[in-house]
Amino acid sequence: MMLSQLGTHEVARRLGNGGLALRTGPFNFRIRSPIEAVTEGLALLYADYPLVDENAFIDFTVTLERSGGLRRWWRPQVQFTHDGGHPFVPLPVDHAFPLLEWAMNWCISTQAHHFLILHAAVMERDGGAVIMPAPPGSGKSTLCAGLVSRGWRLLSDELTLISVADGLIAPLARPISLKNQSLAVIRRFAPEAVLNQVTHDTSKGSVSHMKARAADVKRVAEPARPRWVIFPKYMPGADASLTARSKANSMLELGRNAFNYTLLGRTGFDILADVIEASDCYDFTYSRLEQAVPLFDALAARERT
Amino acid sequence: MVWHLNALTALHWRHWDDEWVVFDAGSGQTHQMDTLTAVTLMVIEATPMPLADLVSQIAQELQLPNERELDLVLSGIVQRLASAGLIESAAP
Repeated sequence: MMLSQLGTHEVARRLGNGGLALRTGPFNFRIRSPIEAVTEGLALLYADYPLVDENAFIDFTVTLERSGGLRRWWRPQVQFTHDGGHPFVPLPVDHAFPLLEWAMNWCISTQAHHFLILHAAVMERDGGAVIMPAPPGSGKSTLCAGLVSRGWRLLSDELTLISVADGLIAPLARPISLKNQSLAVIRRFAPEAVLNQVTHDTSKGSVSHMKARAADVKRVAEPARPRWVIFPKYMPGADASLTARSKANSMLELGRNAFNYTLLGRTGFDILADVIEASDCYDFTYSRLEQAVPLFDALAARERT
Repeated sequence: MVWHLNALTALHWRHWDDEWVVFDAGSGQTHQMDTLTAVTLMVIEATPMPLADLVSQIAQELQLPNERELDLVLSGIVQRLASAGLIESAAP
């Protein structure tokens, strides 16, 4: 059963009571929240995600509630609770939906150590995955959204999950986080994209999330093999350009972008080295998606010939 | 002075052409190296030896003619490997 089959009223009821249990990629989440923005965001962006049986094992329970005390009446706040703790400081209540997304990412990146977890976007075409690690402001999520809008399969815009068991990349297919100028860029480049309400004045600026395509959500059980490691960089006015880069240095950079490389020790080293072994590594500069996407398409096309 | 691998070090190697990475399971650190540095570390890993012997062996293995120049280069490499905690020196 999909979340869309519940209707918004039932989504709100479940969120406000025992919790709404849904599956995103390899994880079952139980989400609890009486906050309307959470209901609206989930109903819009997670409509195509499967619900989880009440008796199923839940990997993570995420609770978002209004803070108590006088703050209920004066600039109300939302607090994320996980396993009885509060990992984040409370945020203004209208930041509730982005906070849910960040909280879900936090749960995975701090606990799912059966994966080597990279802070990187990852998309797939014809079975080959392109891993794009990059710091904030590099245009990683914008590029990810652009590629997904032109037929690349979304695995994740934030967390690349490389299985410790087989070295394959597990899809998450969660909504793509876009912020500030990226919002207008994507609305222009992909007018059909579904974005939820923009949240202003967050720590990352103005933030919205782009819905993953239903076809990508449907394929979350299909892993992908690493094929390219590309470090993107948005440079105003620059023509799109791919430049081959050192494999050894790419491996170290990937390690720096990993949440649990050190924790996994030798296993992490072997997985990362295998990723590099199987991948062509590039630096990529761009300023326009109209130029960037065809370059990526050409990489995939070269693979098919 | 005899150079030997740090006793707490356990090395695991990968390379692509002339680029090397080595994981030290003892420290959990990963290092990137060029071929000469990698060969130096592997020779010391296999057999502890003083710098002079190291220079001779590597000059022979890599067929490098100028041992005096190599001595300077290897001296720097050995110092860097020691700074990274991968090797140590001991009295013979």
